[in-house]
Amino acid sequence: MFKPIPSVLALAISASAQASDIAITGVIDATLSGGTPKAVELYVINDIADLSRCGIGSANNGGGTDNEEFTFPATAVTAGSYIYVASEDTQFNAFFGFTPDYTSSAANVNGDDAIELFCDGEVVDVFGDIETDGTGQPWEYLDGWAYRVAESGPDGSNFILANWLFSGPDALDGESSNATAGRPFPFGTFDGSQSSDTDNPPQVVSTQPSNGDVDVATNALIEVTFSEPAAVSAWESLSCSISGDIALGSATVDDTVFSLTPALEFVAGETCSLTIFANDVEDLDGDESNNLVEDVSFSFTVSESTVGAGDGPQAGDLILTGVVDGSLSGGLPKAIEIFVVNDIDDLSFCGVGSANNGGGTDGQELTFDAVSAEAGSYIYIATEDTQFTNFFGFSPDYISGSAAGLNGDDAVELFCNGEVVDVFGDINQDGTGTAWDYQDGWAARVAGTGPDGATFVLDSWTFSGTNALDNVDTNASAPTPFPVASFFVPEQLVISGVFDGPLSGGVPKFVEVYAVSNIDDLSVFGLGSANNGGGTDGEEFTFPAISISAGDYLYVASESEGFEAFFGFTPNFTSGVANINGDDAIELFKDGEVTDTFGDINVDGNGTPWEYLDGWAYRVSSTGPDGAAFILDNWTFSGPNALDGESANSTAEIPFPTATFSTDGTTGGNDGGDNGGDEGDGNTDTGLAVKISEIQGSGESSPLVNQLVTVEGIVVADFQNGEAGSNGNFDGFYLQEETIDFDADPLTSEGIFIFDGSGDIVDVQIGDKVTVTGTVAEFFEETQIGSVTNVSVVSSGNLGETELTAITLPTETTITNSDGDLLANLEPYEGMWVQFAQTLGVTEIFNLGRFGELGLIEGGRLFQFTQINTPDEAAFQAYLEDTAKRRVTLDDGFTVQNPQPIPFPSPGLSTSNYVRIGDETTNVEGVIRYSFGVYRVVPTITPSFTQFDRPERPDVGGSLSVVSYNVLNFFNTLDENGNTCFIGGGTGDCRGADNQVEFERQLDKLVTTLVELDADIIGLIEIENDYVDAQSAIAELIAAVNADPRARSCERYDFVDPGTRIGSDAIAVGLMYCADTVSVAEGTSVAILDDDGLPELGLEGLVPLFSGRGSNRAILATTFTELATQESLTIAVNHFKSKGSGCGPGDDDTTTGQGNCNLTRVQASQALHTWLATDPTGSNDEDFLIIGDLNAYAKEDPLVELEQNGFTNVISDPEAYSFVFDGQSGNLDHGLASASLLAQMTGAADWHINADESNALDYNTDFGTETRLEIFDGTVPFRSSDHDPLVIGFDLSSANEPVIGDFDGDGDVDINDIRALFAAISQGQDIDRSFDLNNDGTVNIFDVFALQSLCTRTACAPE
Amino acid sequence: MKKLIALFTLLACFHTNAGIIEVSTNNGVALNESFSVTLTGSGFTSVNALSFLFNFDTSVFDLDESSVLFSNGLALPNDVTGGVNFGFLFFSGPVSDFVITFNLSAIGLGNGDLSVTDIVAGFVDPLNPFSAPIAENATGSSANVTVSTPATFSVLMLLIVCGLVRRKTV
Repeated sequence: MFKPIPSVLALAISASAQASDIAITGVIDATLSGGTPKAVELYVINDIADLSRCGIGSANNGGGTDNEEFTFPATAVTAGSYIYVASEDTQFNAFFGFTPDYTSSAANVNGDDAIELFCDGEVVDVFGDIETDGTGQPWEYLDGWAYRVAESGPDGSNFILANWLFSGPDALDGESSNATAGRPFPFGTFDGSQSSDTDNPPQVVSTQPSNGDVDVATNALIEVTFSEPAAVSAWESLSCSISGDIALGSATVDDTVFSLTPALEFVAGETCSLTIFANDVEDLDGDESNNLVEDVSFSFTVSESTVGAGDGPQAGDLILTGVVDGSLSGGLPKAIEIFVVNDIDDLSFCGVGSANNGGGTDGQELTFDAVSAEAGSYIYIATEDTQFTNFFGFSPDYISGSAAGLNGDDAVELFCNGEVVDVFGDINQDGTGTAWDYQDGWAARVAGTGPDGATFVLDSWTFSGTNALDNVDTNASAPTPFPVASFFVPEQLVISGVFDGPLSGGVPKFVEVYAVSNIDDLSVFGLGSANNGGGTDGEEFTFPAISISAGDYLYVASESEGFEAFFGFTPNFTSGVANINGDDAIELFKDGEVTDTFGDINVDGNGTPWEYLDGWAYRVSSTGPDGAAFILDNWTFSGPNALDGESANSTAEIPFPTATFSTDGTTGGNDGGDNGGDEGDGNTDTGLAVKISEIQGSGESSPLVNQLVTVEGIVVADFQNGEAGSNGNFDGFYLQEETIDFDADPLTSEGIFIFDGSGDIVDVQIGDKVTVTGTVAEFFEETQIGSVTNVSVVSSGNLGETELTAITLPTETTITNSDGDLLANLEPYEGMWVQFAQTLGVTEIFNLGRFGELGLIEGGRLFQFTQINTPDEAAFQAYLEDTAKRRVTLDDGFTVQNPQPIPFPSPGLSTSNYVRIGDETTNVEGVIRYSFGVYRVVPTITPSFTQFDRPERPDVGGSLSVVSYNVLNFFNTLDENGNTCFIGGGTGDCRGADNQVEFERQLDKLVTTLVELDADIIGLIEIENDYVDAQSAIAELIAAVNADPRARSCERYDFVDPGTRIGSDAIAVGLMYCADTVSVAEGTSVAILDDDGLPELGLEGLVPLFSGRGSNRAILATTFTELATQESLTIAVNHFKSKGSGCGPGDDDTTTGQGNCNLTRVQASQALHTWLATDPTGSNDEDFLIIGDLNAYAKEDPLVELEQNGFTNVISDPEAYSFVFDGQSGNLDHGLASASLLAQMTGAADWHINADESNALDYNTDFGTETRLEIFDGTVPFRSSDHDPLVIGFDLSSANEPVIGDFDGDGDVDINDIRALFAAISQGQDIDRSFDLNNDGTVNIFDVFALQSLCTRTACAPE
Repeated sequence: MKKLIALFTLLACFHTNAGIIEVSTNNGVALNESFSVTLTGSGFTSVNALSFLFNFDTSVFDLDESSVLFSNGLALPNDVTGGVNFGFLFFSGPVSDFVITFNLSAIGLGNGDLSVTDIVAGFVDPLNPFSAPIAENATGSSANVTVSTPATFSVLMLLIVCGLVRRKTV
């Protein structure tokens, strides 16, 4: 017979082998002259005898394929080698230090171009979308690079974004060599082991700071990059030499690069180290997880020096001083000028970005180099250097097409430490036609103004006017030239403290002043004291003509002896001007004008709020100078007589805060007047007074981001730091408008989170009416007010002035988070105090132990789509939409991991005080929070739960019980001390208990479960594949069960010993049985189906199908005889490939709900029923039972394949489940019986002891060890695994076995059955599908023909 | 009784390799008389399992199941609405041509078509009867039969004979 399928498969395999010989592994667009080097890296996976089969082409600017533009010469290349194709070789060599293998214009790529790799005329790999210009795309590599993820590719003609790592645009700006680049191109590091189809462990590729780095900023973030996407279960604290342990908060965008935020800033000069423990990191690919190969540690040293009063650049250290849009060819030069106000040790904390055409911020598009900058210097950023240099006569410091790509209508933002510290133009407005339009011209900052933070101040700028530079070749020749390097900061001094001491004679008496800026000639400043309210005495003391630096403090004392005695150092100057008595005012003069004042010169301070008799007054940081008007609120006071009896400041109860004042210089007037942002009395800027609904807006993000605002509202939930928070600890509180201030728009929330941090806070209580001043931010997409400058409690007990809003699920609409997941749209309630006025069920419990979260759902248990529906794309999407509207997360209000106790149910989870999936809670009340990509209700009233009874072991009847049980990686080889476990072709993959404690917990749970199951035959899934060892895991498990004293019917268990490992994975399936009631049937053999057995079945085209972790596990089949009845049945135990990692296009079902590797599982089903049809154990019996973890839900193709080939699922309940994933229940653990065996079945049911339970109760101690040790109970079976066991009962009897083909049911097959079957066909009756004897999907005359072959007697004679 | 053969070959849509089952019978019978129907199968490749619907007006005709003559194996006639559903199992081996005969009785007056439709034909491997069969396309034909009273029938026959004689004498 002609068999076309194997031939076709053979062709396919041949083509596939060629396609996987070579892959694109990197592209780079660097920034040497001309944007070079531009290059493509390729990796040779398999030896290629003739490379001329292959070539590359670049698809430029989204214009589609250019086909093969460069063909390699006819040469041989060996596996593991790299090939570099560059646009030229000089700059490539200069950058990399070696010569490219080939040069070709095909590599002339610009960061937005795609690359195609051809072999034999076919596209075998691609980087980028050839139909899309990469600018602004996730794969853009302008002035940067992209590199293939280890073990990925080649990808054929479909670009797979997830298979690539990226430097990010402009990462190579200013870099002259790869070796010194901050983010070097990782050439020659691709791990090509995918050709051997192994799943390699992740590695740490790089860290920031790097190991051994010095001069690390005190506020530096930590960044760790892995070689592949990974999950990190816990980050250790940084260990620092001075600060001690510093906790790290982590965030990641792509699971490859982790950004870690230290909880504290570092102390200058200290050394810190971080260890990443191998066991805390697991990769996300492969069927099972891999840890890091080994622990990784790195250390760094924090910079000794500080800038200003802070650790990094301060807001006033850099100022935007000019923007230029020239009119040379191409509209050049385009440039930005920045002035360095104060010395900066590390410029890399800062950068710039342009906001183009009113489209809002583009963020920081250029980050400056980690170099120092000197006060008074300028930084120039241009789009290119040639025209800039021609125009200005000097070269720019940085080249950035994106940051400096200005067109006269674009705004520019200056960033430091991630915050906007200065801005030119309105980022949300196209400048064309506005007052700040600088088309073909320039804008320059007015000297002494700025920086302006995130708010553009038009009056701080002068303009050339549009077209001022038209037809101008050089700035020098321009009629209105750009005022290059003309900005300056007026010198500024401020009174920061006054002191009236307690020593004899009332000394020391002095004035402390602070240098806001560098001052070349201090003699322009002087002091005067105005005594006893007698008005000004004018300038009584003039400073000498010396220069001082920004941040310097100067002390002018009445004498030095007392000063030194009290403070331990010498004052800078002594003068009678400081002879003050606690009731005297002080004036600071500059060029004869009063620029700052303490006290009212016309009032005697005695008895006034500013009296400092025998005490002191000190200026509030970031205030002043105040000009001639004294501002009381800008000062703090010791109070009169606070220093009485004190002899030294260091021992004083209320010491003078010597040299602690700081300012960035942005809050005071430059010449003594108020700054532009202040009104009236000159208080600290309170920004816009707005309603919360105005901040929230009707969209997903606030329309007032980065705006300074003041709001008033009622505290409805208190999550302030530490014990200050009564509801939790988010470092803030939720504020809701008074009801009368609610707006009429249902889409605008009336509540908002106030982030007031972990430092000094105003402790608020629920019901307080407070005013808050701060800056609006979208913190990971939650609208909040941060950078809080003021919290004032107006009054308390006002909760009645606002209201609880009743809401219900499902919502009318959904919203999509940044991961593409659908969520119930609770955005209109973000930050609000709400009650879910309904009963909600628990649908997800996975994050309870670790994060204190539960998933809640309306409308009952949530099932996997394909558990209850036939796979279908449109229906699946509709299902996702529908179920998303019904879900919300219940949060415990704490950011801590592994909470102790585990919060739900109150007072803490334990084995007896449990919450299970399916339990219910009613009228949950709290605030709506958005974090980590989901909406959460954070309760303000502790929710209670119904605790439905846990189920007893199901009674399935019959004399023989069979169980299928996934035991969650039972290994008796511990994953510690370098132990190794078998995997095909190697070792090292122990997946079970990490230590003896975990092992004993797991063994306790499993033994309890097996004792209570008390079954005759048990199929085990996920057991260590060490059958060849005398002390195998299964042997130890059976021994423990047999030794257990608890009552049960089976006294003695044994296991089926195949005499070899089963398949090539570290885990395997197994069979244990009660030796009292059953035995392995005499004359039968134990059979294993792996890849070696497929050719005999005519399925050689499916190889590899049973090849370890990335595939299905080998199948074990055994025929058992029930001793009491001598009846037999054959059981095949299975563990199909999971959905956890992909198998590639064509195999993965990405649309209908069946998930990854659906085809791999279907093929396993095909092999399974084909194999069983051969009676592999030699049972001569039609009774077959398929059990195991098929990793497919009830309606999925692998089950259908078995059902169409003679097997029937023993569970008919569509809402059966044995596993919960992502809050959705479904049945992965199945039993399917042949027709004859089905007739002997008495019942089947899942025993829900695991899927509904919290994993905090299981054997693992990875997270929250202390709590887990406390609540663990090995004497109960709950959460003994993550899968529920399936129990099936049988009354085995030949009398019960139907005769195949006995249509009329008289116990035989004869002519009457033939006539009756055809009569039924003729009459169109419903006919049992078992009579589709040829399995062609219909019952017709061909089946009648087949039926006669089943006749009991010769010639189908009737009895 | 002189027999007329009515053949309708449906050439317009006839598949080159398709089999055909032709219906042969008298075109006129007297009430209460029995007449023979022959079904001739041809053009098949290899058939050992066959079923089809033999359609007729059951108020005019009635099948004599005992008259079904099929020498190749087992015949499985089943009365259904509008005729008989026939099944045939060719135990003697697959064939490309076959003949099936049976008798119908004229039980009522009228004019009716006899036709073969819904043909399922093909080859089942006797050594592996549960494997997929090799099905063949096939078409059926039809014939028209008029049932008259005996007297009317005699006159009709006489007129036909006369017509034939006159034509010979001219």
